[in-house]
Amino acid sequence: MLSAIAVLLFALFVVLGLPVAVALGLGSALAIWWMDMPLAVIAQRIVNSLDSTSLLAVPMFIFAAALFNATGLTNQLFDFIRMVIGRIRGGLGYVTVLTHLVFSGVSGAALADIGALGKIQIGMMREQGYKDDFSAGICMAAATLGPIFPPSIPLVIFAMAAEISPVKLLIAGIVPALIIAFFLAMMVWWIARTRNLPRDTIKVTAAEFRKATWFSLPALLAPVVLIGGIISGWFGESEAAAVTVVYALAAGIFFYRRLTWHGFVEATRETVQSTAGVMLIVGCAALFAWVLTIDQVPTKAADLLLSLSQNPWILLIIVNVLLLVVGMIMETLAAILILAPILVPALAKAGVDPVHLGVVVVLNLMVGLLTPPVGMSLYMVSSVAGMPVDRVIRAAVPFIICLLLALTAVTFIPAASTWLPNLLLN
Amino acid sequence: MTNSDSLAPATAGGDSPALPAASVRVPAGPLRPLLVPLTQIAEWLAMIMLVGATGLIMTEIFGRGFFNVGLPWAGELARYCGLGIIFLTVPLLLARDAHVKVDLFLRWLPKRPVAILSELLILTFCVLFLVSSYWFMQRASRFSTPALSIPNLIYYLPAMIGMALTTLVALDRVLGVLLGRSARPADNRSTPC
Repeated sequence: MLSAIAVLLFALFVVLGLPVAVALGLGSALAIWWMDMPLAVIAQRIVNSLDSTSLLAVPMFIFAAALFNATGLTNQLFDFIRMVIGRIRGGLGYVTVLTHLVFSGVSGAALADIGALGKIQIGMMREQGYKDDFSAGICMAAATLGPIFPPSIPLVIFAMAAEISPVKLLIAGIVPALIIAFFLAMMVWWIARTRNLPRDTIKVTAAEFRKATWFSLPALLAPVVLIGGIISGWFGESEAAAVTVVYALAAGIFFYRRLTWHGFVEATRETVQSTAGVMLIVGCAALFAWVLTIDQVPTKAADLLLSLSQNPWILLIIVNVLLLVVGMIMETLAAILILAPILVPALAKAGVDPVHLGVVVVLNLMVGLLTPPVGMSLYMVSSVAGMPVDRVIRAAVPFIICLLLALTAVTFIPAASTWLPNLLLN
Repeated sequence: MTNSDSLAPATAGGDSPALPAASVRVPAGPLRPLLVPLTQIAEWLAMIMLVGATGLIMTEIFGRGFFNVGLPWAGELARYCGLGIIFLTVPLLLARDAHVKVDLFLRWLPKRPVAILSELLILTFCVLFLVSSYWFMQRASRFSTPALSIPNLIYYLPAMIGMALTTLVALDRVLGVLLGRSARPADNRSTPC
């Protein structure tokens, strides 16, 4: 009864256009009030869920990416990768995928990646005669690498909700991110051949190339510092993120000498605003998940899932279909916090590794960023490229197919997620 | 006045006709002149706490790595800063209408009644949170934090101040939408995920 009221109110408030955090929090709070439960639990659950060392990684990852942006390092990185692989047919498509892969090594968020890189990439492709549909599609699809390749905010949140090691889950994202990059590169190759995409016009001398390599080095080494620190066991997830912030600061001040006081303040401002928006959803979703737990929804849902089948592959297919639908209508972090406690026990009982499940869940929800009506990437790219949303939706279709192929591979090859963390951390 | 100095909505990537404009921006209420400086001070505090949290985590790493000393107080203070970063910025986000929402369905709903209802519901949430905080603190204030023995009343203060300020912003928005004659389209805001 309690959870039914909360779910109905949440749905109603979302339709009314309330902020997602308020829809989750108010739906739960009114259900708690209605059922005459102690009101203290509302503030207690929201505040205590956010009082976490692991969650400190979220503002730190956002801060590091904002500082790299303020330093102008994103442009540097894009230009360098252009120099390396731009001159093959459809080169800017590959450059987009590779830039997102490297930049995802510091940012951890798809929309932040589109904000940082989208304008440069789409602008450059437009200049060189690429159709906007291709530019917008590849930019959106490549941005899904951000939340899969470490650092990843959604993976940290999933680890927290599922009570598994965030470090293990972050490492688990590496191979799946490479699989996605491979499928996207194949799609670029196919489109480049069939639509005769242009080659990049960039021409560089050996001296210019050496200079660009030298200046891109801090950006290229950032993921190495971060992932190396996590793998070696020197840092936990929030510590690795703080080290990346200091690394970005040092690179901006001493190496590039382009990080100004104004740039630093704006990066800090951008970080607190993004963090507050995300984390309030996390806190309110934690309260919502608690309401579901009180009503034993996770246990009942687990029983229901296991009554359908005990076969892990069939359960994974059901979960994939469910999450693809959820991803279309629900905000990513809220979906993770609500569904992780429901799905993990059931699938773990059927023999699915929670680390594998974590990557599958996040990848599914990232596909949701490209699907209407709540596909945030669609709106973001529409804004960055100045294209109508309906055209962006059409542009996303071939790349969604590509991501679904990657999802199928990640779902049915558990070793893609579990092999590396088991190798490095056991 | 720049965008960051005002309480105008922040946009994700500049103004664009492509962004959906189904929801309405709430006109300024009578409390706005008081709330502008308060929300900005809160945001600056959050920004200082962000830098502080980074420094504290680095101190923890140095302490452990170079002196083989665990510094639980640094971790505790970093978590305190973490709460401040979130709750002290929430009022500004509400004032700028910058929280993530789904405005797809608003196209088919009457704008003004829905705007009034939405603002009232946001205010209800804030008030419920404050009432809940009162009961929560009745119990929690008897205890202190483990490492620094900070009374819980102080430890949770940023959250309480932030939500109290958010309640004032929500009240201002209710008054704004009730007293305001016109409503303009609002912009969307994205989140990193």
